[in-house]
Amino acid sequence: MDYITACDTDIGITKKINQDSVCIKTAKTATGKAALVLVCDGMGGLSKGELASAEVVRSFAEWFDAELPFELPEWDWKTAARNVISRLRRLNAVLMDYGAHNRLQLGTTATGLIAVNKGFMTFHVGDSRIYRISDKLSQITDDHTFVNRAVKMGKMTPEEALTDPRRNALVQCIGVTGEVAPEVRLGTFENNTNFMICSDGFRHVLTDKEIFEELSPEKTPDRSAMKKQLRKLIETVKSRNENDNITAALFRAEL
Amino acid sequence: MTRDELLVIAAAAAVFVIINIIMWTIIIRKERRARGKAAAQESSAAEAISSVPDSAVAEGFELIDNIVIVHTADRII
Repeated sequence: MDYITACDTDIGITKKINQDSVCIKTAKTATGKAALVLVCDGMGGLSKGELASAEVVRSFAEWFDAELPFELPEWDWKTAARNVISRLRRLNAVLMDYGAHNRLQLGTTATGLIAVNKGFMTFHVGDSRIYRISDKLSQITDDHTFVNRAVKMGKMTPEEALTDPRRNALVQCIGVTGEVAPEVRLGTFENNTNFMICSDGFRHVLTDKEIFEELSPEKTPDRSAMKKQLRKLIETVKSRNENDNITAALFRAEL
Repeated sequence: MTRDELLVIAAAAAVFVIINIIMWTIIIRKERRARGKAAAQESSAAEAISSVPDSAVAEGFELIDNIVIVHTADRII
C-alpha cells in the first residue's frame, strides 16, 4: 500500500498576503502507513489571518511528528476523533484569546484528512472543502456558511445563496466563534479514489466538471502529475480573476 | 440665484470636501497601521518542520513527505 500526495498554493492576483497554510505529511511506521493532509484558509483581512492558519497547521504537524508515533500501537479511530475535536477547540480558544489581547480578529478554516493504513478520518470547520473523486465527484464536507445553513433550513433557495451578499459569512471557524463543532467523518479507502482538499479560492470559479476531469485518478497517476494538474487549475482560477488566495492538496491511497 | 445663496452652496461644498479629506486620511492611516501589523510576505516560507523524537525513529517511524507551507514566521503558541 502507498500514499500519493501533492499540494500547491498561490497568493492569487489581488491579495498582498497569502493567508492560506497547507501541510502534507506521510510516514512509514512499524504498523504500516500514516498521513496528514491539512488546508487552512486564514481570514481577518489585514489582521493576521496567515498567523491563525499557520498556528493550526503547525499544531497538527507537530502532533503528527511527536505524538502520533506513540498513539499508533493502540490506534483507535473514535479516540483519535475525540482528540482532533479537542485540539481544534483548544486552538480556537488560543486564537480567540490572542485576538482579544491584541485587539485583532483572526480566524481560519481547518479542513483535513488523517490516514492510518486503509482507514481515514476527515475533520472540518469553515468553508474549505473536501471532495472525493473516483468515477464521480462528491463533496464530502458541509460548508459552514450562513447561506448554506439558510438553504438547509428552507429559508433560502440555492440560487439565492449564490448571489446573497452574506455568501462568504461563516457560521463557524477557528478563532472567531466562541464554540466550534467540528465535522468529523470516518471511512475506509477504496482503490482509484482521490481526495482533494481546497480553500474556497480554489473552487469559486471552477465547475464540478472541471475539477472532476482535471483531478481524476486517471489524470493524476503519480505525484508529478498531481502537482501539474493542481498548478494547471490554479492558473485557470487566476485567469478567471479570482481575488482570493488559492490552495489545494490532493491525496490518494493505493491499496 | 443670489450672491448669498451662492455663498451658502460654496460653503457647503467646501465643508463636504474637507470632511471627505479628513475621512479618507483616517481610513488610510488605519489601513497602514493594520498592514504594519500583518506579517511581511517576505517571511513566507515552506517550513520543513520535523520534530520526530529519536524514540519514535527507533521504533520505525520514518517521515516520507514533510511539507508545511505557512506564510508567517510569527508564533502564538
